[in-house]
Amino acid sequence: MGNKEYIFEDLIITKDLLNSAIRMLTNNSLFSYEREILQGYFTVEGGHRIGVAGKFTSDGKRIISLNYITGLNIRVAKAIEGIGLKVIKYILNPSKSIYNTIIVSPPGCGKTTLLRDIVRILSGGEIDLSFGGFRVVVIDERSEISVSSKEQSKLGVRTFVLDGVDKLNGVFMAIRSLNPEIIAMDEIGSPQDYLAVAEASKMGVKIIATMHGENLAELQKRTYSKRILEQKVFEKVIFLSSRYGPGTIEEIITLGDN
Amino acid sequence: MMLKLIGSSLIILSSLLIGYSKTLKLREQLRIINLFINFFSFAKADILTTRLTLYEILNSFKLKGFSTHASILEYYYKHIGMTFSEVKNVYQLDENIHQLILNLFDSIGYSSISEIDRILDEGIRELREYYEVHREKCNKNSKMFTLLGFFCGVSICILLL
Repeated sequence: MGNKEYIFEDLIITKDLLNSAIRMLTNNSLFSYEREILQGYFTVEGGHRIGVAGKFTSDGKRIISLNYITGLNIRVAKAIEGIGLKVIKYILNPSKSIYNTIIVSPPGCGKTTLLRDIVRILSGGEIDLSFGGFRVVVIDERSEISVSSKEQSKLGVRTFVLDGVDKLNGVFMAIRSLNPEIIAMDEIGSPQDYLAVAEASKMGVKIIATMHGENLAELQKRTYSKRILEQKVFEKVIFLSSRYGPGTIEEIITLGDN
Repeated sequence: MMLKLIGSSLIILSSLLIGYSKTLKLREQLRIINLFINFFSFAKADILTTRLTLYEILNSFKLKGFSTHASILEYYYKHIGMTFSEVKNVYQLDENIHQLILNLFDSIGYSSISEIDRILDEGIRELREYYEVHREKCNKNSKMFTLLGFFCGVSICILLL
């Protein structure tokens, strides 16, 4: 695992094999993953994400159907307890709160794993760092951070999970009814996601989010991420890579210092 | 004489019971068809409103008081994706009904919500038709089996006496 790659040359992937894999992965219920599949992936119990390749049909504005599947990419989700301790001291601020933080890395470098553990630590509190825990709301749009009630309890005692809710709606739902101190969300990317972050930051809650990218220069090239950086919503940026395996912390930047 | 009377009563009673058991089998078939009509109607509503998986729908259906025949539903659920020849008709349903149910489960498992809506509408309509046919058959046959049982018993008694 990790960086190792195995190629099974003798294994012939047939249409039947793909179809039966899809049946098993979707629990014989393709319809219940329809919306996600049309976005190119779906998440199964355990937070494992299945990327779907195949022939999609679009009506010009959005993808309306998937005609056939030609490949599946299975990403196994892992919960690694303790990984967040490496960065938690950089996230905490002296006023018994946290800095708005964004975790940035290319795909497969452990952003979600790190976010999951940071949420667990922030929710549960850490005696060594003398904080007693925060009320955290996780907006888990793709059911990747926590997918079952069992997993939810692993995210800490003060954590509420809004599962399957889009980020913008999730922010309003959380603020209206769940009294959060921190909102955590995974993979902000669409204009709506940036709006959700911007709105949440104006409502007195702190944000921890993840985003695809490799470095600050890359983020500044993208319209919405550039805008959100210019608005100074995020105070800390954690860059990850897989140089020494997934989850390698490359750099932690305090925005405004640069 | 007394023994003869008791013997003939027993013969009539047993032939009546044979007729009654035949009727019971037909009633059981009716109950199974009705169960599938209920289940697919319930599943359709659940699929259109929530995005629960078929297995979750099955469990929730059981909790709603339909647990008596849950094993039949589970049997067909477990065989999703298999061909008609691979699945034994263990509940001895009519071949057409057995095939229809297999197809319905299969279609639900591998279709989009809009397709499922149409497929289930059509499937439930067909199941209702089968139900009506079977109900008529059951009513007709139950009378026939009872009369047949009675007359068989009487004839045997006459022959023996």
